[in-house]
Order: sequence, then structure tokens, then C-alpha cells
Amino acid sequence: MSEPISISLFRQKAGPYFSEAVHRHSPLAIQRGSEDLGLLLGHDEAWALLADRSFTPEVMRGDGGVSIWLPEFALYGQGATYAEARADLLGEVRVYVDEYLANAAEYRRAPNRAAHLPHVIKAYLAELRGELEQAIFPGPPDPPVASSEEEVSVSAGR
Amino acid sequence: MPVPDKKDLRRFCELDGWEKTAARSPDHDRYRKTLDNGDILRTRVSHGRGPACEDPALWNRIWRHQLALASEAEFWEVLRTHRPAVRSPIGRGAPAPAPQQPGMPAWLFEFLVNVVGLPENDVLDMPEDEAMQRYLRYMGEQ
Repeated sequence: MSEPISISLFRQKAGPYFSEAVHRHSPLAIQRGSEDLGLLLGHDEAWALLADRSFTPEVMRGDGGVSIWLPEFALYGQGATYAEARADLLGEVRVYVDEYLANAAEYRRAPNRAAHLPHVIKAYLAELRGELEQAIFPGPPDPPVASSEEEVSVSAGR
Repeated sequence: MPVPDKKDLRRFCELDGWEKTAARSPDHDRYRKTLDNGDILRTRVSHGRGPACEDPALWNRIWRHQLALASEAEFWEVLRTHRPAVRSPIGRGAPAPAPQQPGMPAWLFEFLVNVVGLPENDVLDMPEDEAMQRYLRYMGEQ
């Protein structure tokens, strides 16, 4: 395996190294001093790493409208219609992702927030790709591959 | 128990020692609290009057997951005693079994409305198992 490059070398050749990581899909480890280690990763690779992280919003009807609960972040959206509740939830996700990333060290130490990190990164990347809605509101789960003897069934995706 | 009013939820946050944050939000007040074990709690209260939320099932999730209470009664106990909630040292205590909380996956709701073409209100009124049966029946016909 290749050794990490030094931060000073990275500073000198940031452009070529960036291209290497992003266009040639080759992650790059960067070291500063003896302890600080970072990883430059292309967007595609980061997205692939998070492929198995999905969101499972639940829809509920209230007395005066619709609400949607997002268990991965313990957030909700609500509104008079489903569309309003959906938009409200997406706004909440954006606020939460901003808040989490702005306070990442603190939130990663919080026992009830630490496990949110992969989903936070997923939502952040999805927003950058213009795909936040699709990420938070995925379509039906893929049906399991069944043998000829087995009955095909579809789970609720939870 | 009833869903609390917004003023009840605001009062709870004050009595339970939550801080009002400056996060951008024109329509809501946002509150945050850090527990002794490091858990960070967040909740929000929309401006104006009326219930804190429209849905008892949503309220169940709010007190359980956002306020980190072990029971709904703890919420009202704080308002009654004017004392912070007593949470266990590990934060969330031992939550009581969750009450029945009707709901369905959003993908299922959207499929039945957008693909099958059922009216939104009909799907909202549908139990999840019936909605799933409608989905499977539709898929079987394709």
C-alpha cells in the first residue's frame, strides 16, 4: 500500500493530487506531523461508501394535517398536506446537517448523535448532487431475488 | 393524554433547562439541551398558538426521541412541579413500551398516490397492512 503524502507536498501539488483522487478515483492519504491523517476522497467514492445508508421516513395522519417522522435523525416535518410536510422535513434535514457539520466534534462525541454521521454525510453529499429529495424519500425497496421455488415478497423497508 | 400546546412545550423547555438556539428558522423557536452523559437533545416549537403538533403519534415520537423522556407523564410532571425532568444517569432511562403509532413508509404512501393513483386522503386513512396489500396487488398485476 502506498504511504501517505506529507501535507507540504500536498500543498505544492494540490491540483494534480485533487485530480488523482477525483478523476482517477484514487483516494489519497495526507499526513501532517506524526499524528494527523486525512483522506482525500472523490465524491463518487464517498457516495459509494454510503450506498447502504438509507432513510426511512414514516407518514402519519394527524387531526389537522400530515406529519412525517425521519427516524435516522429524529426529525419531523408537518403541514396541512403531504407536500407541505415533505417540504418542511427537507428544510429540517438541511438545518440539521448544517448544524451537525458546524459542530462535528461535539456531535460526534454525543452518544445519541455519533451514529448519525454517515447519514449526515449522505444527506450532505446528496444535497451537493441535487438529490436530497431522492435520498430522503427513496422509492420502493428492491424486491428480494427469489428462486423459482420461493414466493416473492416485498418488505416494508424498515 | 392530550397533545400539549406550543406554550406547554416552550414552558417545558424553560423548566427543563433547554437553551434557545440562534439557528436560522423564521417560523420556529429551536431549543437544545446537553445531558450529563453527553446526549444532545434538539426540538423546535413553531410560532403562534395551538397544539405543539397535530398528531398524537408524532407527539409520541417527540417526547420519546427529542425530549428523551421515558414516559409522556414525565412531560406533564415537569409542568406540574416546575422542576427539570428526572432522567436516568445514562440519559434516556428505560422507556416504556411504545404505544401503537400508526404510520406507513413514505415510499409506500407516495407509490399509492403517485403511481397507483389513489386519493391522498384515502391513503392517509389506510392502515399500513392494507396499504401494503394494495401495493403488492398492484405489483402483481403489472
